[in-house]
Amino acid sequence: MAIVLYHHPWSRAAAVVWMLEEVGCDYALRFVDIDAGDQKSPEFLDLNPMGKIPVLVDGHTVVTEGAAIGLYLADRYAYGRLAPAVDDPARGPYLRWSLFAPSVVEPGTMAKRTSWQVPDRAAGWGTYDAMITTLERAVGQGPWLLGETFTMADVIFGSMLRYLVGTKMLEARPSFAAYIERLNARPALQRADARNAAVARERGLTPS
Amino acid sequence: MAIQLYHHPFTRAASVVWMLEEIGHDYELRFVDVHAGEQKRPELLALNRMGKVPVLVDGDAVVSETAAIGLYLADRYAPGRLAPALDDPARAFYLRWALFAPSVLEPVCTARASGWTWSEGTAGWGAFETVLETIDEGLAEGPWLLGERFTMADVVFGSTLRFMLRFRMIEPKPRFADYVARLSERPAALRADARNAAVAKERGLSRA
Repeated sequence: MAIVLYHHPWSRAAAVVWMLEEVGCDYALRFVDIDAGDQKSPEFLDLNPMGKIPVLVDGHTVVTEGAAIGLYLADRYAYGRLAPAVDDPARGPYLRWSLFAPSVVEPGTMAKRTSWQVPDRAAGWGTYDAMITTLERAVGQGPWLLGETFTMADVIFGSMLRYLVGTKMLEARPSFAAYIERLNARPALQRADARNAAVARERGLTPS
Repeated sequence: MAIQLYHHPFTRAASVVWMLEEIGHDYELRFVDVHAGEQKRPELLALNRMGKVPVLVDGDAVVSETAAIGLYLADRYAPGRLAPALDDPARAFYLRWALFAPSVLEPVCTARASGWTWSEGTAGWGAFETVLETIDEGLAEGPWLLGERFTMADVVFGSTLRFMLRFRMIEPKPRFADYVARLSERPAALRADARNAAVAKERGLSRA
């Protein structure tokens, strides 16, 4: 049975399409009309009481949280290729960067953008300046986060960076732009962009 | 060579001591005087440019971000025991709850405690009440997040929940309190608490 992704092209589920294209699994997209509130329907809340997408269903397995879905797919279907083996020292940084996107970059950027104040030590995500320097160092050497090896961490982290730079929520730095350009050249990302765009067209979605 | 943990007992590094005790691997604590700003010194910045503890060094592997450290240790040293095997469907929930702690529970509690307002659709972490309900449902079966199996997800998520309850950042629902009580009785958690307390005593630290 194919993997089913509960999806809307203008949500975090768009990045999961890229993950699936990198993994190379068969999958089906199930459209969730988030503007109509479908993600709060009882059927959906059974899968994820948070009432948020993406949700991935793989047989009897249900996974939520974008980064968790990426780690799940890589370990399950691309182990040793998109996920370093468990006895590979690269697995440390692999997990670190995968967690860094939703736990540091996302809250850190939102806090900065909305001028929220929180002490450096109290917030798990630390200071904005340390984050920017850390990001620059992470993508500045390249071509990928782990050097020569492209991994799922690049999809999890890269999709977040690409989104934040694209929407100007995060300041553009030359090293960010160069990394995003490398990501954009990946055939799997191009296929995912096309598939997301096709869904948007088919559903008649237009940017508000 | 033993695993090294850059540590201060009043930081998120305290939870990593618990992780290491659950794993049962030899480790050494390297005290970082966060009040004196030692986490911003070149030696530590070379390991983690964010200038934060915990940082774990295991031979050639350097891991930061608490949840990433937990996932790393469980896959590396307790596969099939504290981490479900890669082809085990339980791995989906395992990853989800491990990610939920730093990406949802922590930012939502910080945001709420700081009086911030956010839109549920924009913030990756959603609405505060929904987070509490989701956790409540997650703990309904018990005794652990994955039912009868205790995993590293319980340490990652449980240590965050325990912290949030202790500092009254969330209201103690009965299931939350029961779960935290079960966690606190674990021999590894008791050993970790004792070890953290011993460091605090040795360094003459008291919570401000």
